Amino acid sequence: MNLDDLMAVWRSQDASPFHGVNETLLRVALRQDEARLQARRRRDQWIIYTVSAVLLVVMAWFVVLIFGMLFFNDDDVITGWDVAVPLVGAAAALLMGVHVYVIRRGQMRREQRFGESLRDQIGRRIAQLDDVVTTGRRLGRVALLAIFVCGVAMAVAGRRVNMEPNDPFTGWPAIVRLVLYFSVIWLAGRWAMRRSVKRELLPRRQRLEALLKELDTP
Amino acid sequence: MLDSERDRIFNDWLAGHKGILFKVVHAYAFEHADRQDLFQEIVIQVWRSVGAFRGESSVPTWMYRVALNTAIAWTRKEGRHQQGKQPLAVVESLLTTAASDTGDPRVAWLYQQIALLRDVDRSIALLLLDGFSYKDIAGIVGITESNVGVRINRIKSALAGKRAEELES
Repeated sequence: MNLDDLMAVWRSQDASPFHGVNETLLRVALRQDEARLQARRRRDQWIIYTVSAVLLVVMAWFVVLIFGMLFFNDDDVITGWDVAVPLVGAAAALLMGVHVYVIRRGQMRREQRFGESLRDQIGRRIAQLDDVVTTGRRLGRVALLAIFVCGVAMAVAGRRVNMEPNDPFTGWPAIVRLVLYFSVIWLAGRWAMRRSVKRELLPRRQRLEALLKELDTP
Repeated sequence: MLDSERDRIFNDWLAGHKGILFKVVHAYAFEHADRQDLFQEIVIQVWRSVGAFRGESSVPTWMYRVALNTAIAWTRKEGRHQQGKQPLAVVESLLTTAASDTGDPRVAWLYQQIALLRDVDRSIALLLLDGFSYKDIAGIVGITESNVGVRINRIKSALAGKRAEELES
């Protein structure tokens, strides 16, 4: 049997296919998928709106702090810290917003570089998996830095409102508890992320890489 | 694109070329539940791809492209995991089995041989048997035409060898 015979045999199934499609259920399935996609888009939009709002509120709060320190300070003593802490906080909130935007744009640009062939699809999936891991790591580092900065800021602010001579600063236990609390949450998040990478993302990436290798091997 | 227009295009595609989807499902999934799962995944991807179709290739080429990309990336567990969903109860019988499931034994034999190939070669075999040119296959898979030629020769030899072996026995 040569190739033409095989092709003729193969095409015989077009006349009497093995399967049929339940049109009614297909409609239901597609509508459900559409609804799920729309729900996901709405959720993503809400996350963007919420994060933007939170960052704006944080910036506004720090700006108000500056003016509060400058104009409504009863003892009329303004130190460098009074200005530095709000400024650094506002700048950090702004930088965080810009950083998230730049990361997202970079991901979209990387994904658009790929075409429609099988090789491109595999490449796109690998890039998406890499982005998930990279973004997770970056966010982890940012969160750790934020815990440290917030701890320092609370300590500075606490010392600032406790400036009576010889008056001991009593806010340490609360600050330490807060920092410890967020550190535990951070550690739990890192553990969950690493577990997910090891159990799900890495095997998927390895499988895709094996497919790419298979494509490259004639 | 309006929803009604999208519906119309999708219905036309499905009416004219659903055989492509069946072939891909049959070549990549071997249990009934897996076939349901893969078919659902492919048909949803085709539905989503309607808006992205620019007419730069023929509809069968486009459908093969979407179906093969989905099938190769698909594993049952991964397919369910990707969108954090369980399979829809309503689509358990989305793919119905025709009476001709036990049809031409030569077709069944071809599927058996295709199942023995590696993932990428399986795609190439399907495209070859459906009459796509080396150039089209190279474009769909994303490899050079000479690489396609090498693989097709290997596939042909494997099929011929197996056939001869079976005839002898």
